[in-house]
Amino acid sequence: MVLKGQNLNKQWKSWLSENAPRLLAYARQRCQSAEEAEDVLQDALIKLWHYQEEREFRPPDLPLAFSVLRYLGLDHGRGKGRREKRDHKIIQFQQDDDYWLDPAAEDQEEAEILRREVQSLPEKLREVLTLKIWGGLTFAEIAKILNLSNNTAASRYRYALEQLQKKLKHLKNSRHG
Amino acid sequence: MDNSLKELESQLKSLLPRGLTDEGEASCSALIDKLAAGEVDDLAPYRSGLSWKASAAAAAVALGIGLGSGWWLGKGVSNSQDFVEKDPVSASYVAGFDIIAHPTKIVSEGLASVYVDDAGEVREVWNEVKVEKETIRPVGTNSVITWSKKDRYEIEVPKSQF
Repeated sequence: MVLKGQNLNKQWKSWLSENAPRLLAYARQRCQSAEEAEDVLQDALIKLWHYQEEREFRPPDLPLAFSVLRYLGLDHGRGKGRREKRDHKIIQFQQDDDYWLDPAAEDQEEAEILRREVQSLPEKLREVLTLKIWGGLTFAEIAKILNLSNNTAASRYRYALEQLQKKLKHLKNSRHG
Repeated sequence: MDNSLKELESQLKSLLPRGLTDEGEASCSALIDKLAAGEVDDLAPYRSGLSWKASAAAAAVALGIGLGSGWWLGKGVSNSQDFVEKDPVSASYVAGFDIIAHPTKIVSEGLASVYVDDAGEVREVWNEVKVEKETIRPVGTNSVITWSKKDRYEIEVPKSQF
């Protein structure tokens, strides 16, 4: 089955180049390293390509991409062992430097605190936050991917922000007090 | 949402996740080219080059199930155990086998437990065992080898009702 021509390659590559950071940010939640996340992303590309056959192989919508990534990420996580093991790894990657782009020097400290606090959120809150902030999805799209009601998705997001805010306030107070 | 939460939202958006590494980008680009050319049918064959099956098959052959001397790679190997230690598994092993069957089944193990987590959500947890079998035939022989592999997973999902 030889197909589709150069134009389709270009479309997919351009789609990937635009969306790779947000997809990887999500994949990293269940992977130990950037390399593993990239492997999961490649697997997702293969699945997505075949899913898109019915749509003339057009690059997929983002919610579908996140759904596939979630499924493969869960599978990857299970393959790596039980939940405790995965949580341990997630904690480990908080210290990795390869997850985020370096912020401007003046924002460095604040950004580091924020990154650390995001990673210490409970998984279900962090997942919604990641899909909303870096995935750019709507609550309806997030709800569909995670099999939740729209209200639950929205309230988890709000709860995540409130928890972060509380922790940041506490940190600020303890530094100044 | 109050202003302080909106401000926090903006701060979070300013944290930019990294994109693909150069290596990852090259690899994805090559993959897209292969997909467009119809060279990758599905996940399994794409990944088969270094799968556990290849390792198992290679180890079995090397550990002396009578096929001994490396004929299938066209190499002379006097000691099969040494061969395993010195040569990493490579895609060339895979080429030495015909895959005859590869059934997979998933079975639940025990009853599900229902509990309420710290956030007040009702959740259900149970174990599943994935049994994967593979029957292979070394090329040019009538010998058949069957392998099986079990993986136990803990499945945990929200439960909407008791």
